[in-house]
Amino acid sequence: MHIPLIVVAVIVTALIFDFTCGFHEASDAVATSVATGALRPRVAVGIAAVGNLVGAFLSIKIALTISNGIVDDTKITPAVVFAGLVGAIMWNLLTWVVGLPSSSTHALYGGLIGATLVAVGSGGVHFAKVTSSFLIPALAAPVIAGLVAVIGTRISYRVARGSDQRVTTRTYRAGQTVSASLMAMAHGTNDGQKTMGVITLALVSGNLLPHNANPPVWVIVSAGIVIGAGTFFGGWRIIRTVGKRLTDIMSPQGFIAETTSAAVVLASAHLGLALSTTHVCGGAVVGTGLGRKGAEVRWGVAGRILLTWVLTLPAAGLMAGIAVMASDGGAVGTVGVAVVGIVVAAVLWVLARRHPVHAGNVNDVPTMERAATPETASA
Amino acid sequence: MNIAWSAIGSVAAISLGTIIVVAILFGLGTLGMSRYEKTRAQGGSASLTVVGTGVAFVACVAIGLFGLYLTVFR
Repeated sequence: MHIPLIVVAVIVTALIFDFTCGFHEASDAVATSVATGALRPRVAVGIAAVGNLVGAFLSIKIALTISNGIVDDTKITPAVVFAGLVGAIMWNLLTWVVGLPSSSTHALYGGLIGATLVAVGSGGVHFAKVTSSFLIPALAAPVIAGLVAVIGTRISYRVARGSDQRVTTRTYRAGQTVSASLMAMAHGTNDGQKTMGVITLALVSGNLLPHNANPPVWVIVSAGIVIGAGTFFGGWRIIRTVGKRLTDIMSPQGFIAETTSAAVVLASAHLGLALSTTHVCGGAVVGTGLGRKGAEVRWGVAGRILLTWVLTLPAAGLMAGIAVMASDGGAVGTVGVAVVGIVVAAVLWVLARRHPVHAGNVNDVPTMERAATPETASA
Repeated sequence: MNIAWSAIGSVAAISLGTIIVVAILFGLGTLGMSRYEKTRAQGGSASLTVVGTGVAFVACVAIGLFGLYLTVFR
């Protein structure tokens, strides 16, 4: 059986994207548990990795509609998917180095839109669909999660105010381990499947699978394992930003932030609304900072995160657009794009190594940025 | 352009309702746990508090599992 090079390239890059997606969005599930000391960092990412793996097997609903109708599936070639993935991976690595959370979903769709625009033209992109199913929900997600988290945090502190401080910390930390696992599973059902969808699409366009085929078992297994491995790798730079830099999180807040995120993500998945887990989680963390008296939200950090979210779609699109010009030209172009991608990734990796953030120092933030709370001071 | 306002509204309403219920139940559970330990430390018995605390926490777990069930099997 002859498998075209471009199809192999798509499968490999899709799995690399899946890995970046895992470590990039590990923070969605673990940032607050790590910050409050509810779980040791390694244990937290271990639980999240298992949650993502399990989540990937639970459902293949999303995998079946890979592009969600934002681009014309019939006009997509493997070269377009490859370029879109390269753009998304580059954006994920860039934001990881600077430690800012951004939506891997938006990066993937930004990449696909950019590559389609260049390769097919504006006729290949359904702009009304982009606005209705991405831009509006992207605005709504952090606002909803933020408001819900403010109210939840207020209620928590009001109801439990008479209880002993030590007991409060202990029970909410225990609650966090459960809510973080739920959030990890919700993430796996959402994001693990996007990779399955991309690989399946590549196999169909290479005539290795019939049209409308379900993802083969090896695709489901490999996508689940890779996103789990990516999650276990950590993404500590982003975990530090969300857990320690954005606001001061104590265990009741962490519990509310994770429960809110899980509730919003699961509710939206059930109603078929494609919200990004990253946007939901970011909104919830800010909300819980606003909800507790004495907690301070650092709006400078929040503003930088918001800017990253706004830039994700166009930036990934731009990089994918450049990549598709080369990769549309055949095998030489594809190899060229892959080589450039590897070189850029290596440079970013070296840059990250200059200020390494790992499980051992993830909670160490310069004192200027951290307001000591009784809980974090004792942790 | 077809914006899913009703879906956005439903997500907001469902998550707000869920969080209010979970926050109250978990808060009561924490309060119960705190009272139980206090009573025990003073040598008293607190079986009613134990039952109440247990019910509150079990209800929280049940809500989480129900959410997962709805997403996976429906």
